[in-house]
This record gives sequence, structure tokens and C-alpha cells, in this order.
Amino acid sequence: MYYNTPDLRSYVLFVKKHRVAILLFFFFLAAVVLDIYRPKLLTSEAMFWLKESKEFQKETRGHINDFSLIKLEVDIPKFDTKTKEELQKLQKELEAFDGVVNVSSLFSKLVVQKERKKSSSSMVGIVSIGDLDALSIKSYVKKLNNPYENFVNKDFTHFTYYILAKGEIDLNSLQTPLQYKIKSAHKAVEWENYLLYGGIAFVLVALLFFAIFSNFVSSVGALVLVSLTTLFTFALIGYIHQSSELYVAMPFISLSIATVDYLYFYFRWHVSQYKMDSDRALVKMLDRNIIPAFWTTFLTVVGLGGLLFFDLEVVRLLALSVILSSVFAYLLNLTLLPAFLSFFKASRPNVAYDRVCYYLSVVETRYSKKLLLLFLAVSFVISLVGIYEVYKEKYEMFKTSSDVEQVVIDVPYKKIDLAFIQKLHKLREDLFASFEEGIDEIDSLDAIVMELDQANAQTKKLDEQALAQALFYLDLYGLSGRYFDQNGVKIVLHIDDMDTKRLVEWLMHYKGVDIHVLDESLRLDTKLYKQKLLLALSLGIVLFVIGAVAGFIFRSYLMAFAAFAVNAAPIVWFGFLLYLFGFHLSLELLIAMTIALGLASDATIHLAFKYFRSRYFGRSIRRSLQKMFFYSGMPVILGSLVLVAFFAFLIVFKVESLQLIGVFTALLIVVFMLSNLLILPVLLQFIDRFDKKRR
Amino acid sequence: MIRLLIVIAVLVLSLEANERKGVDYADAYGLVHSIDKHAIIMGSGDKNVYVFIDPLCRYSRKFMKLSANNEVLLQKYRFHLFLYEIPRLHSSKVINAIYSSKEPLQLLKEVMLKNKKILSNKELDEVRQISKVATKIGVFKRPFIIVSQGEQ
Repeated sequence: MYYNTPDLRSYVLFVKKHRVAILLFFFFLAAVVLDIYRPKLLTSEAMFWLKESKEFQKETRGHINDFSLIKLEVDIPKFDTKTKEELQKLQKELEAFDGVVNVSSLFSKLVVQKERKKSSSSMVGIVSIGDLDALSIKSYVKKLNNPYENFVNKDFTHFTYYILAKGEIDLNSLQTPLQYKIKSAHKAVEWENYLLYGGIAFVLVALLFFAIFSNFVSSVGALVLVSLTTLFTFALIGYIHQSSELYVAMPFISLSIATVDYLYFYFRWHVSQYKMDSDRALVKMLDRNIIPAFWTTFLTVVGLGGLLFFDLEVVRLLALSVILSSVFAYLLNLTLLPAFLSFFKASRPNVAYDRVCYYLSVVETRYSKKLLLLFLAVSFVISLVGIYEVYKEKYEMFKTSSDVEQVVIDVPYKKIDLAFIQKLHKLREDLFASFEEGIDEIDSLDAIVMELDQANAQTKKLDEQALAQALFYLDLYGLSGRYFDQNGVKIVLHIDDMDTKRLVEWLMHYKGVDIHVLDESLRLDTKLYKQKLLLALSLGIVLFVIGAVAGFIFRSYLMAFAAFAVNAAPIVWFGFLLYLFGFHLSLELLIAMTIALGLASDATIHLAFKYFRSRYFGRSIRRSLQKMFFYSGMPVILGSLVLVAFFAFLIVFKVESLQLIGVFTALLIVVFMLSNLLILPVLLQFIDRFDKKRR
Repeated sequence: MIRLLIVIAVLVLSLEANERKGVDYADAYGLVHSIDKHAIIMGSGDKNVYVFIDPLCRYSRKFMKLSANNEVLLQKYRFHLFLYEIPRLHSSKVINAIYSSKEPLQLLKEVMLKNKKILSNKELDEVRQISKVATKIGVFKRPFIIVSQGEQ
């Protein structure tokens, strides 16, 4: 029970006696693991989510290979003959790239020239807009009221090229003198940057620990503990899953858990030396932390253990990484850390934070019960509204924030005949009818065939001969490959600020013709939202488990409610803010929530443990709160500050998902910290029955 | 006013005159087959394309420019070229000269792509036969294209 204090003096003596052997054992183990385990980092969220998906594997083996859509944007000061030439040259350069299937831009657009009806000498003409001079291009586009707004802005200063490529392509060797930006779903890991920033992040953490504790022992201890926990965790995951592929942001889960777990132990060892020698501080460090740390680890294992049986690889991996990190951090804190710290003593055991804790405890005892109930009621209502909104508008909630403005689909065919062209035309009409203003233009074979038929003076209506002539003209001008190949017809949908997932879902379930979405990131996104919904629900289940385990540890159903409320409130309010600002649920956000929730549940148990223990031994509410803030609150605050600094630092990485995880996690850690430091103490007082029992 | 009406009538009639008024395309195949022995063959593809051209016509020359040296096109299509005069261009002597040649395709390319000047007063029966069939089909412009409807 929480009021028992285990006698660990003989264990500390044992560790101290064999400290060199213990240290050597762990370092040897780390060296062996490092030699065997070579992780491969994945930066693409989509690839990580679906690398195990059977449906995905089936699709990639089939007729459609892996395609990706890359958006290249060019800004020019003025559109004139010279810049027009450069832009047209860029179009040709992009088309000539290895792996590029299609480049859509203003310069790929075609103008079908009608035959002169009165002339006995005439022929249907097809020219590229790029073949016109700059002035004619401007007047042509303006005359049509700019149907090409996806490719060029009104001022003709911003041009966009959409590149459909097979697999990944490297556009860094482009020769164009124009200033351009590339937006792609996939980016390769830049190992040099990764190592450089990783090294800087390590130094940053070391300096932060030095700033807090005025020594390097804390920094070295943190680095060793965190590194070994991360290494052992992911090596074991790699061994269990027989895979060395690792999403680039996953190590941050173990890193965060290990850092804060370490802080609970180290802080106790450090401040205990204010009144006692380092050996007794070691005993204090272990006997005061072994039980709450066990319960936090137990809570993690039980809370997330159910997710290990989840029928989704990514959820299993996330859960396993949190569980193993907690277990390894706990074991290393009990063995490696005392062996390491036994060589040192804190020269300046800092207890200056005592005043902060006293102030906090005074503020917290003056809480308003009405405000607390109001806060809980409002949080409850928001969570109900949130659940209803997720249920009602799940498409919206899980919409990607990507600014895809073009969707490329492939329609397989056996024969291009009139019936097939009519099916394509029906698809066009159905798309416009279903999505109204969401679709600007559909660039497809039926459109060009009809345009050619209208321009052709030889044909009066679209019949088999008119179709044969239109297809012949496409061949004559070398444009067939742009609309179809031996297997399928390629259709480009230019979309305008719409839910691409709904569109892709619609296309996948369309009955008129068989449709394959070529842009890989879009296909994956569509399947991902369901999986993200499941992960979000699993996080909700974890919240209930946290409450149940807390209730069991402290033998109090009220504590179950308090633990649940204190961890659910930040998610509810944070989710509410995201909803208000139009953010969507992403893997980055879910990882951030997993990290923050893992840390917050630990903090809840440590804080409650200290409070209940102090109250059990007869201390007043204010004194108990003061001790709780000092021994458990300070590690929470310091750990949160270190992690906020660390995650905020991730913004310097050029990988977008790392930047997002950095921002989301830093914000969530602050929100959860405030919840644990401000709301939990109030709730603990609210459910406190010690005085009643004593009376 | 009467002058205006006459101009409009002439315009309408000329428009009418430039729309095809011949047999259906399905029947046109039979007709072009009957003169196929007079066709100048270009390309070795599986799909047959019958083209009426005038060697002095600007757009017929554009057609030749796009197709004559296009290997991809020549492997996919087999062009059956029929030389058929546009009256206002007075090209009958050029047509006669080409048909009289031992290598009509080579000469046709030289005339149409390299602007080679040749003339012949020799009147040929095949030119008359082509003209007869072209009128039945309703060939009103050059190039006039009929594509056989095989598989794509």
C-alpha cells in the first residue's frame, strides 16, 4: 500500500559493492545491442501507418505502382517573353525527369483550334498554351475567366506545376534559374542534419540539467538513462516485430518517459543530501520511489496492454514503445542509476524551490468548490459535444491539412469505344453533381475527344468515326500518352478547397467504371482516417483504465474519478481549441497525446502517492500539499520544462512531422502539467476523507 | 438591300457547300477500297487511315509535316494517300506529275515538305477515278481523313 516504506538498505549496499560490474554489464549489453540493431527511420507518416496493411501491399503489387504527387511553385516578378520562355523550359525539364509520369501546369494546357468551316483547306489544330506568346497567353486565360487558377494566379506572378511521379524523385538538380519551392508528401531523412540536431538536442538537455542542479552528474545520468532506455526499447520492439523500420518520431516517446522517470529518482537523491549523506540519499531515492514508480509502470502496462491486442500495427507499436520504455526506465532507475550515482555526491543540493511549493500549496487550499464544479461540468459538456461531433463529422475531424489541389485517377479499359467515352462523360457529370463547386475542372479523354469533335468540320455528332478521328488527331499531335496508355485512361481532377478524403472515398466506391487513385498519399490518407479514429478511441479507453488503476492503488473510487478527470480535462480542452482553430487529428497529434498522457498519468500517481502518504501519516492538508509539490511536483515541473524545451527545439528540423510533434507535444505537456499542478491538488482536497475518518 | 440578301445567300450556300454531303462513312470504306490501288502508301501500321490531300494545300502540307517523318505514327498507322485537287489551287499538273513518278511517295514528300516544283500535262485515269469517288464520299476539304475503326 502507499503508506508502506520498504527497507532497501541491504539492496543499496549490494549495488554499491557491485557497482562497477553493474555499469560494465549495461554498457556491454548496449554495445552488443547497438551492433545487432540497425534501425531504418521512416519519415513518411503514411508509409509508417500502412507498411503492414494487407490492402496496401495488394494494391502496390497490382497494376498501379507507387505514384506520388509533387507540387512545385514558382514566383516571378513579371510575366514577359523571357520569364515565359523559362517557365516553358521548366515544364520540359520536369517532363524529361526520370520517373516523372505527367506534369500539369499552365504550360501543359492545350488549345484546340477549330477548323475554318468555309475553307476547303483546313485541319484541326492542337497547340500548347506555352507555344503562344506571353501577351496571347494572358489574354487567352483572362478571356476564359481563368479556369487555370490552380496553375497561375490572377497577376501571373505565381505558377504551380503538379508532378505525378512513379516512386520518389529528386528534383534538387533542376537547372532552372527561376526561384521555386517543392512540396512533397515524402521527404528523405537527411542524416547529417538529423545527427547534427540530435547532438545539439543532447547538449541542450545536458545544459538544462546543469542549470537546474548545478552539476554535470545529473546531465550525464540523464543522457545515459535516456539513451539506454530508448536503445533497449526499440531493439526489443525490432526483435519482437522482426522489423527494423521505425517512424522517425517514435524514439521521442521513450525519451520523454525515461527523462521524467529519471527525474523522480534523481531529484530525490539530490535534495535528500541537504540533510543526509549520499549513501542514505541513495536509500531514500529508492525506498520513496520504488512503489509509486512501480504503480506508474503497472498503470502503463495495464492501461496500454489492451492495445497490444489491437488489430492495427501502428497502435500495437505505439503501445509497446510506451510500455517497454516505462519498464526499462524503471529497471534502469533501480539498478544502473544507484550504481552510477554511488560514485558521486551532490555538492550543492538545491532546495531553493521550497518557497514555490509553499506558495502553490497556499494558493491551492483556497480553491473555490463552485468554480471546480463549474469547470468539471463545462469540461463534461464539451467532451459530450466533442464525441457527438466526432461521430457526426468524422470526415471533417480527420481531414488532412494538406493543400492537395489535384487528384489523378486511372480508369482501366479494354477498348476505347463510344460506350467507354460515354461512361467517362457520365463520371464527369456525376462528379460535378456530387461535388458542385469543389471541382474546378476535369482533364480527361472524354473532354478532349468532345472538343476535337466540335472542332472537326468533317463530323457532325460524336459517333464511332468521329471518335476514331479524334483519337487519330491525338496520335498525330503526339498527345495520346497524356490521356491514356495501354492499360488505362488518366484523368486529372482540379479541386478547390474540398475534402479530398470524401472525394477519394466516392471515387473508390463509384460503380460506373473501375477507378484507381494514382496519388499514393491520397489513397493512404483515405484509409488512414479510420485507423486514426480507432487510435483516438483507444486513447479514450486508456483514460478510463488510468482512472480504474488509480482507484485500485488508493482503494478509492473518488480517486478513480479524480485521476480520470485530471487527465481527460486537458485532452478535452485541447481538442476543443483544435476544433475551434480548424486543426485536424493527425498521427503527430496522437503521438503527442500519447507522450503527454503517459507523462501526465505518471505525474498523477506520483503526486497522489505523496499526498495520500503525507495525509496518512497525519500531516495537515497544506503541509501535505507542500511536501507533494516539493518531492513530486518539482520533478514534474522540471521534467516538463526540459521536455518542453526539447520538443520546442524540434522545430529546427526540416522534417514536417517532427516539427508538428515538437509543437503539439510541447503545448500538451504544458497543458497536462498545469492540469496536474492546479486541478489535481484541488480534486485531491475535494475527495480527501482523512479528517472525517480520524473524527 | 437586294445586294445584302444576295451576299447572305451566297454565304449560306458556300457554308452548305463546305459541309460534307456524301455517303455515310460506313459506305465510304467500300468506295475508298475501290481506288486503293491508286493510293500512295505511307507507314506500316495495323490501322488504316485514308487521307485525301492536295500537294499545294497548306494544311495538307501541315499534315504531311506531322506524319511523314513520325516513326511512332508510321508504325501504328498505314496511310492511304489520295491526291485530290482543290480547284482554286490549280494543282492538277502537280498531281499528275507525282502519279507519273516511279516513286510517288518520295516525290510527294519533296513537293510537300521541300517545296519542289514539278509539273506534268499528262492526264491520268487514276486521278479521274479518285475525283469521282471523292465526290461520292463528299470530300469537301483537304486534308480529308477517314479512319478505319479498328481496336485502340
